Amino acid sequence: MKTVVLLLFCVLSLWAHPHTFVDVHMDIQKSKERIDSIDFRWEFDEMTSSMMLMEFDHNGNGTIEADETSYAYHNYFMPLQEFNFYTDLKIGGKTVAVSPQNFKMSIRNNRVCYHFTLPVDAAKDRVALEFYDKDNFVAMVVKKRFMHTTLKYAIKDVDYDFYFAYRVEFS
Amino acid sequence: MSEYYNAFLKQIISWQYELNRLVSGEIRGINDENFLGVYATIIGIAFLYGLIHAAGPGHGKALVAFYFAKGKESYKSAFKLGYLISLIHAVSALAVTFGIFFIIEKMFRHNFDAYSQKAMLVSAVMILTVGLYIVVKSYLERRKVHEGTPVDTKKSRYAIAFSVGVVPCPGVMTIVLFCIMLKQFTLGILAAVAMSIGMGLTISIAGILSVVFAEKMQPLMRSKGYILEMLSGVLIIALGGFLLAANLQS
Repeated sequence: MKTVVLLLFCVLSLWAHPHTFVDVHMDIQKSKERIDSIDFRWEFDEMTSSMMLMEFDHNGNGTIEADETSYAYHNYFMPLQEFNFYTDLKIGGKTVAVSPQNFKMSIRNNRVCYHFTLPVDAAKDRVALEFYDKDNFVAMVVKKRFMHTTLKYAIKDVDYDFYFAYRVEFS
Repeated sequence: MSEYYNAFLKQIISWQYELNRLVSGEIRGINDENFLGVYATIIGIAFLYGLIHAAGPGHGKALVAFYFAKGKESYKSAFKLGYLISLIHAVSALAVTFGIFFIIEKMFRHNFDAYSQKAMLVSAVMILTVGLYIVVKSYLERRKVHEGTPVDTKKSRYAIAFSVGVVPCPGVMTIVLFCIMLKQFTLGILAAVAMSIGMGLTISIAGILSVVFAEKMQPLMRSKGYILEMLSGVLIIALGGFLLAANLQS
C-alpha cells in the first residue's frame, strides 16, 4: 500500500522537484547556555532572485527600499506562514509555532536575501530545527558553511517518506 | 522503499542545486570573447539539468508508465511519446515566458501562477478523459469480440502528450527568463530546447520500462490482455482524479 501511495504522491507533486533553492544561513552569536533567538538569512538562488527582483524592485534601481520590502513582506514572506516558513522549531522534542521578527531584505551577489530573527528562548541542548518543503517545490539547503555560531551542533538528514528534511541539533 | 526514494530525492536535489548555480554563473559571465564556449557549456549543462530534473517527482513519468502498461505498444512509440511531451513542454514554456514577459513586463510571477493553475486543471481533466477513453473502449471491444482490435492509440497518445506538456515546466521557464533578463534571447531558446531534450529522454525511459513490463506480463495474461488495458485506464483515471482534487483544493 505504501508503494502505491508513494507512486501516487510522485504524480501529485507533478510540478515539484524543486525550482527554488534557498541557502539557510543561521547566526547565533550571543548565546552560551540558552538560545534566545536565531538570526536567519535566506539566500535565494540567482535565477529565482532575478524573477523576484523583477517584481520587488519597482523602481528598478537595483536595491530594495522600505516600501519594496514591505510589499515583499506582505505578499511573499507572510504567506509562507501557511507552510510554517519551511521551518520546524522543536524545543524538547515538541514543535512550537515560529514567529519571525525584524524582516529585512538585501541583495548579495545578485541574490535576494531575506533576513529575520526567530525568537527561541530555550536551553541550547533542547533546541532542534528542521527545514523542509513537503511539496518539494522549494529546496531549503543547510550546510556547515552556512552556520555562523560557536555553539556545538550537528546537521542530520531526516527521512519523512515523501520528502526529506535537514535537521540541526544543538548541544 | 521510502528510504530509497528519500535518498534518491536528496541526490537529485543536490545535483540540481549545483547545476543551477553553474548555469546562472556561466550565463552571467558571458562576454564577446567567450560566448561560443559558454553557449556550448550552457547547452550541455541544460541537457543534463533536464535529464536530472525530469527524474524527480512529476513530469508525467507515472502517467506515461501507466499508459504503456496496457501493452500492445513498441519501444519506439514510448520513445516518441517522451519526446512529444518534451516538445510540447518546451514550446509552452517558451511561449508563456516570452509572451508574458514582453506583453506584461511586470507581475510575471502572478501571471505565470494564474496561467499555470488553469493549465494544471485542463491537464487533470484531459488525463481523466484519456483514462475513461481507454476503459470504455476496452470494455466495448471486449463485449463485441473476444479478441478485440486495439484501441486507437494514436489519439490517446496525443492526448497524453498534450495533457502533460501543456503545463510549462517552471524549471525551463526560470532559465529562459533569466536569459531574457540578461538579453541572451538565443541562448534562452537553445537552453530550453536542450533541457527539454534531456527531460524527453528521462520520460521516454519511464515509457520504455513500462513497455518491457507489459511485454513480460502478456504471456502470463494470454487472452486476458484486456485486464492490463483496463488496469492502465483505471490507474490513469486515479491519477487524473488525484490531480484534479489537489488543484481544486489549492
